[in-house]
Amino acid sequence: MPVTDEQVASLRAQLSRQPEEHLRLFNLLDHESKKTGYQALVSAAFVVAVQRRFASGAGMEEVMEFVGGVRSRSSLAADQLDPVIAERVIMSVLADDSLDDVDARQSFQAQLVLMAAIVGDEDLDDAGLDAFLAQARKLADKWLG
Amino acid sequence: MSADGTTHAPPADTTSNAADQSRQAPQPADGARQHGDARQPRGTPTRQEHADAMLAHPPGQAHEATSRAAPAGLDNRQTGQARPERTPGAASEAKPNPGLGAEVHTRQDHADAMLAHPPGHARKMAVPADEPPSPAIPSRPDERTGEAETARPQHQDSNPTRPSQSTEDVPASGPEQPQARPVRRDGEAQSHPEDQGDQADRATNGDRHPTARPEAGNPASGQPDAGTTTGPGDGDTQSRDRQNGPFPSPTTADARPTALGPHEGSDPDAARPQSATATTPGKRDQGDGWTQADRDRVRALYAEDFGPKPATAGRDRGVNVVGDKPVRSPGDASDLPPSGEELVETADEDDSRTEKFRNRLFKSIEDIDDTINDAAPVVQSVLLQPPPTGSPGVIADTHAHWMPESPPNATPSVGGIAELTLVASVLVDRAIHRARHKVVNETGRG
Repeated sequence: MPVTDEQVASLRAQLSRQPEEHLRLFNLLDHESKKTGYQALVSAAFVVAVQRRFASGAGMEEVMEFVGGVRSRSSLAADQLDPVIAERVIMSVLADDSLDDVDARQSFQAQLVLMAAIVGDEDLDDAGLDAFLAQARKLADKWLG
Repeated sequence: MSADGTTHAPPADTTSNAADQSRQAPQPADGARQHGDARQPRGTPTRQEHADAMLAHPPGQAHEATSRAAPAGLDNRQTGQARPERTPGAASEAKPNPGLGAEVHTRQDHADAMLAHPPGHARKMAVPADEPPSPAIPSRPDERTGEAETARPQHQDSNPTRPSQSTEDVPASGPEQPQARPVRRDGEAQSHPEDQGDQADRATNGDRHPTARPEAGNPASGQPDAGTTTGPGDGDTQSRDRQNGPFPSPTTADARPTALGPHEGSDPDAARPQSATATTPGKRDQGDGWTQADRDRVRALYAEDFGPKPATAGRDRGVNVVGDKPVRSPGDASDLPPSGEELVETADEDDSRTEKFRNRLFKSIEDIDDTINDAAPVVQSVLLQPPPTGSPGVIADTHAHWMPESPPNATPSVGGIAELTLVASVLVDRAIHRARHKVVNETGRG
């Protein structure tokens, strides 16, 4: 099942700082669509964002600095974002580290928060955001295909 | 030289002496003959002619024949009378052609006799050397006389002697200069073939010696065009014909400029008709073709002048040029896009990596709604809070704030009026109270 436009629209509303619209669109999706398409779209967007943010040879120090910066933005982020899991998730993309011992829920929350932080740092406009989501959708379609 | 101006042949003592004289004597070369036989003393035989005479006669007669060369190098410019004196020694040489008259003593007389006969008669005397010498050799002197006859008519009336004709070429020289010039040209012709090529070019371009022009209208030759084409080299070519037949001799140096000039040597086959016309006027009449030996010889001359043909003639070899891509091997595909195999390999790597990401990061979560609802406030807080760029600082206001004054004569406000009324009423009340207290005190006392 490929990624639908509704799933993309929901994520786009969240990344464009429209939390109410995001929740509204997200609640319109069925459960199966949320489990597959939307979750795959978020994970694919995280991979694309990490590859944009970090170079291929980025080390652990740069990842740790970035995670610390994200957690320092708000008390909620500091409370709910586990730095170890966040760093391992990023390093899984950069260095092919394994995430077998990491909980799927924590991993997904870390991916969502870190992806939002990277997109927020880039301060993309509408076209940039659409291009980013298109690239993420393409990768998600590969995963789901 | 006798008193009448005729040249007498010196006595030939020995064969060796004659040979020495023949070497020391000026040999009118082919190049000299290219300017016409009219300028050349008729009594001066060429080496080839001398060799012909040596081969055609017994040794005893050859000795006498070689003696003809000695006076030629001395002073026999008035060769019109030289030949009768030299001929008595050799019967075959001295015997005039019976058809022309045996009483011819001078070259001039012989030329006149040649003019009196039809043209074909003189040509009939040009017998090749390969024929039996006994009937042919007696005709050679007459043939040369016939050649002199062709050039004689132009200068015959003005000056019957040949030295005067040669002085046209070198006017500043003395009477001996024309005699020395053919000798010099002989040496040049044998040592510098290029000079011969220039002479051949001059001949073909019309820059011919004036003495050669009468050959164009030579009635004895029967080919006016051939005379203009061959020009000065006609005598030599005829002697060559007598020796080697219609084809140019490879051993003679004058064969190259005649048969293969510098500009016409690019194609040996192309030079064939010119050589056939230029060398022997009567060659076309004979209808001879080039033999393989002649072709090989001409090609050898071509190779000698211009070098062998390159092995890559007609093909362009790769040459590296500055500013251009160097010649590469066909297998060098460094600047080409990746091939299909490489693209497939890259796609496989991408697919495998994408698959790894999916296996690591994309794991289905059952309670996806709760996860999204829990993470939504955190995501919103991260998006709203800008990333920290450093410690926050308080910007100090270094500028003094200047309040504008109320403008004068401004209209009083209601509050100001009320305030003024209150203040005035209080002041009036206090003034009345003080005045009453003062009156009571004065009346109570009073």
